Amino acid sequence: MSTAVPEIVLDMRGVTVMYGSARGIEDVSLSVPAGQVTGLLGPNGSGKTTLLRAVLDLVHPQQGSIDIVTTSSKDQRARANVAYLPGDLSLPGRLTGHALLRRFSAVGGGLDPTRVESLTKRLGVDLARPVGTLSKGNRQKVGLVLAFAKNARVLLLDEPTSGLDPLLQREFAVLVDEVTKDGTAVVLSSHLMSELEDLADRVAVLREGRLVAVETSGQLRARARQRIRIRTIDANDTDACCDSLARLPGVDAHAADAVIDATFTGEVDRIIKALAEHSVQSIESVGGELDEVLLDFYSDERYAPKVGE
Amino acid sequence: MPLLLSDLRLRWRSLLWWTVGVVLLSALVASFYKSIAGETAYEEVFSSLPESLQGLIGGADLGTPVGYLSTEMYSFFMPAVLLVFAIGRSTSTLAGEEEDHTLDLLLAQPISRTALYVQKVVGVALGIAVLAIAVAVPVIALADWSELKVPAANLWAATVQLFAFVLFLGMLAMTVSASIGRRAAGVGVAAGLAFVTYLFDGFGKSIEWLEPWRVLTPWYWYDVGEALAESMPWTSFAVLLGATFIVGALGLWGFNRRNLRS
Repeated sequence: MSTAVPEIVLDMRGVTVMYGSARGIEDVSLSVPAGQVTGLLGPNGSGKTTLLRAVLDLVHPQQGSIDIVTTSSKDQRARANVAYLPGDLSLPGRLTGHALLRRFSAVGGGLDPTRVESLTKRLGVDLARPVGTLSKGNRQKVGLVLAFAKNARVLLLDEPTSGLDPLLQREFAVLVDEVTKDGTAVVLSSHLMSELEDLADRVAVLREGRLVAVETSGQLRARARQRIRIRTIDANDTDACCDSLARLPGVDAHAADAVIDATFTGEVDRIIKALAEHSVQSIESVGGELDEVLLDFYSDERYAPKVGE
Repeated sequence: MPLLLSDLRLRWRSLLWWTVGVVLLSALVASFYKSIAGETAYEEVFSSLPESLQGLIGGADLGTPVGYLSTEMYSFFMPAVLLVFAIGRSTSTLAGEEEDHTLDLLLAQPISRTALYVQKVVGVALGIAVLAIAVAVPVIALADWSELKVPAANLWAATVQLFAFVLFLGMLAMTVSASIGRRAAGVGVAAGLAFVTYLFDGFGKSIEWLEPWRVLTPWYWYDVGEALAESMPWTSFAVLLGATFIVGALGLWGFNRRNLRS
């Protein structure tokens, strides 16, 4: 691992975009380092797409500034360093994949032909057919080729895995891994933590157009409520065991018969230590509800937008 | 102008069909002249019409090549055909692509909105130029047979005027639609204005209090009668071109400042 601080290739400072009455984004500051995956997490309408479109100057911020590498986003040359996969991808249906690639190369898209060829093979895209005749998943693959073949410093992917089957989702993860190793910064939006969990080095959480947290996946996981189910060997011990768990801060535990259902945040260590005094038959993880982290951010008043701003 | 080339590659087939259609229409109208050449009966009927209707219908001398071309082809029919093309193309090219959500990915490339806009305008202007020429070519080609003979210089003057006039209204359609991001708005405003100002200009020829206001209509400056009968009306051409530039600049400003729809 290199100890050098990675270069910031996308720098947003105090960016506000408002459209009339509709909410955009408000006072968003985010630095995206090279060679990392930054996740954008938030429900629909929280401003993820607006944030990405502001980087591309498709919407103009009323306040704040955005730099891509060293160029302001207001300068079209900045977009030579950015590749984009729109969330609701629409392509001119009558064009074949090849014609489409030519069209984007013509306007400075700068697609690398050898990359196009290898990506086409890996994703199994038919570039000879008009994109209008392709299925949604196959159109999405054409969009992925367009985005990944540009060799850009910054890759903006808006809900990229929608419409892809699980096999291709895995291929997508490999692709993301490859480009970040080459120093590309990837910004990935999703409304599901589970999609970002394995891919993102850091996750930026958006609520109603505001950035409420930027944390590593590990930090978010630590916030996540985990559920476990414990069975005791001795049914008489169940209540005592449950009590010693419930005494721990941040732990909820309920007992029924010889089964204890417990939810907690943070490390499992203190649970294990508390259980050591009891006769435990089995501990079963019922899944960390990482998306509940999101719900916490949304229900917690500390993260609510301040009134009058 | 790489995008222009890409657009032309995308749309040349449709332009080809438009050209074929316009050539056929022009040839059809030109060939009808043979059967009415020298006929004065039309003139008599025409002069018996109320003056206000005469202004609306156009020239009286259907029996002469200049009168026939002016009335049957250049004063309303061909402008209307070309306007359908120009307004359709102008509104589908920016607002249409925005409504189809295909503009986002294009503008995510290192191309400025100004460069995009200018190339789209040039594309529309090229299409209109091709069709304006397509109106004139059959007239020249059939002249010996149809007896519809006007000096080539006058026919080209009319062609240039037709181009400038249609370009102005096409530009208006582009400006409105690109500034709002709605195709229908551009179609409505440009087509509505073309129709209303046509009536206005036509009645203005005979209604005294309307006459001074005719200068506000593009039809007044289209002035194709002058182009066919005498010489290229340079002043009118300059007014149309100047108005096109002003409207076009407004559209560029409106397109640049907007947040595009996602």
